[in-house]
Amino acid sequence: MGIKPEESTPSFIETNNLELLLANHVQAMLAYWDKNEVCLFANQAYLDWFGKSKEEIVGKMTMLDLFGPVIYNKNLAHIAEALKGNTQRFERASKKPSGEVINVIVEYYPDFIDGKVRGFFVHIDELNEVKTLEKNISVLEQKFRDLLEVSPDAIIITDHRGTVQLMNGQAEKLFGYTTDELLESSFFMLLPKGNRTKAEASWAKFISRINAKQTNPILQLNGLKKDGEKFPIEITVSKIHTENGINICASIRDVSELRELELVAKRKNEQNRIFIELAPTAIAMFDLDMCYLAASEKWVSDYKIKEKNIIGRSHYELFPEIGDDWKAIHQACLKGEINKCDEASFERADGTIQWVSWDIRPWYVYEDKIGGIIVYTADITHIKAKDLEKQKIEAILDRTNEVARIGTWELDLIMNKVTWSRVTKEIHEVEPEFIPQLEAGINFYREGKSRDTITHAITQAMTKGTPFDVEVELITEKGALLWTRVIGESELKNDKCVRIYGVFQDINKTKRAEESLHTLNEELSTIFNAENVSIIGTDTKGNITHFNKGAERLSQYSHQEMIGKQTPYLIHLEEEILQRGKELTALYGRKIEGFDALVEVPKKEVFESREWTYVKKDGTHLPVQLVVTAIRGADDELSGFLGVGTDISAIKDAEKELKSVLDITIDQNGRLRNFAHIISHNLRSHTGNLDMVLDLYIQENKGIDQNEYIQLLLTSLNNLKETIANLNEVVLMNNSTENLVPLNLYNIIEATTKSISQLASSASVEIRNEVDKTTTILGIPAYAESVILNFITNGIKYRSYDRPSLVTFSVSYLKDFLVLKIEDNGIGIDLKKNRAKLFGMYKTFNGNKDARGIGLFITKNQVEAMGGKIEVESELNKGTIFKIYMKYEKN
Amino acid sequence: MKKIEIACIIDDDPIYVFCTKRIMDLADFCESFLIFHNGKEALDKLSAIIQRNENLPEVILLDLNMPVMDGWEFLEEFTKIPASKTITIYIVTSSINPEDIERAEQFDNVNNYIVKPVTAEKLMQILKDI
Repeated sequence: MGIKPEESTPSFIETNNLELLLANHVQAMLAYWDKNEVCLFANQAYLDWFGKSKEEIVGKMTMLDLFGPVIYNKNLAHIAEALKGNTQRFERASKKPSGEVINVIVEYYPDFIDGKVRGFFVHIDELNEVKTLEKNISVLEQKFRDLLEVSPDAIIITDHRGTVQLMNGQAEKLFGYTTDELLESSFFMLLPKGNRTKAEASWAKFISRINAKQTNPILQLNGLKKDGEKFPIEITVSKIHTENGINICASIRDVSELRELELVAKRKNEQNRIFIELAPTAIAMFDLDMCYLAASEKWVSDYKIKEKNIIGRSHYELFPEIGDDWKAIHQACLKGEINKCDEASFERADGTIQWVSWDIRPWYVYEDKIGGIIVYTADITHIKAKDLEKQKIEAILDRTNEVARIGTWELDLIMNKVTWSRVTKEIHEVEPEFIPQLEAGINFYREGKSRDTITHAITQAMTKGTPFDVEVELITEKGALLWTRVIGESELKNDKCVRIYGVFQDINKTKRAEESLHTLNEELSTIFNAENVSIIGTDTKGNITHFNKGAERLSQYSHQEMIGKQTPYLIHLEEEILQRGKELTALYGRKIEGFDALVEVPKKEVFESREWTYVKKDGTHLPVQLVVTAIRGADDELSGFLGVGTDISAIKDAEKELKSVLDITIDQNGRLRNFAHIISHNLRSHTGNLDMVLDLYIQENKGIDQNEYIQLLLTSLNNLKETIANLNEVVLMNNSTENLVPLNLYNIIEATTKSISQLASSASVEIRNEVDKTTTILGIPAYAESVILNFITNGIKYRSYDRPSLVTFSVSYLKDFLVLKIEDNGIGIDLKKNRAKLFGMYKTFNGNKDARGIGLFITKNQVEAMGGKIEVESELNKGTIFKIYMKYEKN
Repeated sequence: MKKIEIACIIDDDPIYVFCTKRIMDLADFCESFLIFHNGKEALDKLSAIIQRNENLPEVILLDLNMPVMDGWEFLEEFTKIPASKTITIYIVTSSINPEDIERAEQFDNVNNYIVKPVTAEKLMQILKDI
């Protein structure tokens, strides 16, 4: 309306002259009543209608004053509503003051100022004329009919009883009736009999509801065509209020196609549900609201869902922890996206890593209509773990191959191609670019056994598929001889070998070590099983670990009785161990006993060799020389002991015998020496006395020395004295060769010759000294002189009377000895008869009157005392050669 | 050549002592003799002579092998006694054992080692040495 009346503003009318002018010139009646129902404005038409002047009404009259109580009461409800703020619109048959009755339309418009109703405007207009109205109706009806006809649905309008009033072409088509056939007929004949009662009931119920705001119900029913065919329909009914009461507009749609689709979808979904529930994987089906439609048992167990029935439950309700990221993914999938991941890791609350793969995709009710999503997940943690493990193992294997020098090889029989790995090439000592071939590859193997072996193995693998594992010798590209191990497997396809592959390993070091170890073992076991040497090994505590055949033979115990059961203590003489223990205790200043007595020294000094006595199983004793060695490992850690014992009973016996002989000899020698001293001293005393007495007797009795008896006494006395002198010399022979001094041999011979020159010349014996003047020997002066003298006197004594006698001294050298040759041309010695007696004591062998046989005995002893020896050659009546070997100073 | 006043013979062998005295007489070796039959007797008597400051012998002929006290023991003891007069001691023995000869050389106042039997020539040599 645009009019904004101000309370008690007389200026309102004055200042709005134009508007007032306008209001007075419209045909409709206009007025303004305040909240006290006092008129503040009325236009000319309004004033004319009531036949009042402006001055009479405005600001003076109330509605009650103007209308009178009858009309006022009629309008009271509308007035009250308008003053509450509600627009009122109603029709009235009104009687003009002139008496003419006309139909008017009355409208009250509340006037708000600051949200409060201050009054209301009144607009009253005459209703249009009937003709205009009829014309308008026919236009409207035409529009309505056109509208009905363009509607895609069948529309049938009935009265409140269901009698058909109107229908469109679609309805004719759908049911097969013409409009004429159906008009004024019951709508319910379009339904099968079975449906009619139900439809009529809901029909009546719908109509009886006064509330116009009620939503229009949709009825799912079957329709019945004129030809009797039933088909599913969906009817939307709405009420139409008319002058003749309530009409019903039914909009009918053929849903047979839709039903069909829904049924198919329903069946499909049911199948899906069963399929999903029985799936061995974790899979779940959700509707658009993310509520469960189905879930597999695996899903339930994987996600540890405890609720018994989850169908219809919201996924997010069951898992409140699901994050927004996942919700976003779900939403995207609900719009048609597919989200999948082959592996992703999640850290669980307990810190372990869970590997998961998933596939989320929408499912369709029918084409283009998404019904929800299907989620498939798999816990691949164990697979992932296996995968990681596999990668780790592969890495280790690679490294191992490198270190162990293991290569691979492959022979592709289809492509006729040989492949070698890097390590395989390295072992062959070929360039990395080397392209191997079967023939050439085999030719690397050493001709003979190795090449035959590999050729046979590969042939067998190719023809029979036999796997092989051989150790063969190979000559590398650079000519080195290597032991290698070749392992092969064949791959068969339709019983035909298509590929042989395997590993290749450099086992040279191992093989060579094995070979030398084998040799060493052989040697060691031979040594170890020596029967005459006892070898016993123990651990650090003495427990026997080795017991060889020799030990068995010496001790009479078997190795089964000893190894792991005894210590060597068992076969040792207890007293010896006890005694040795005491010695070592004193030596080291701490208690040492038992087995320690055997090993204490080896522990410190590496080994000890001692004589011990073994006690055999039968209780008899056996002397052994036992070498005990401490065995230490590479880290110098003591690992045990080894006792090597030798039977020394034979040596012991010999030693014992020798010792007793020696004892006897020493004893005899001592007694002999004693005896010799007594003899020499006492005999000399007596002969000395005899000599003195006889000498005095001769002096005091002049001429008595001519007495024959006195002569004999003197001769006997002289013989006795000489015998005693010789005897003394023999007894006092000193056997020490330590005090040898350098002596000039030439000078000794000269001096001795001179001292005996009278005797020599009287016997007409020539003595020749052919020894070099500088010749020096090592000897004892008295002995050397004695020896020379003895040979000269011998030469004189045993001279031949048939020829001029000659004794010659000459020198030659033989190795460490100076050889003095003394040659005479005397009567000689019959060596065949006398060699044994020659150097004996008191042996006289040639009947010479001067021979007393002791000379050569003494000489021999003296020469030997000076570290030399005497040899003799002689021929009867030709002469004798003595060779005296003596020490001399070299350089 | 001067005649010896007193000669002392220490020996247990009466034949030897008899013969030696006789040879000395014949050779006019000395004025008088002192004869002892073992080392002990000789040591006691000679010590007494020294104590009484009487005349000591100028020469002693000492045997080694004697009963009671042998020649060596006598030498050990006798050399400890300080004497106013130089006494020349000769070991006269039958022993030709080199050990005995060596041992005799250890004593300063032992002049010589004479191997029995004693002869007039050997006695003359002693007189010459003194």
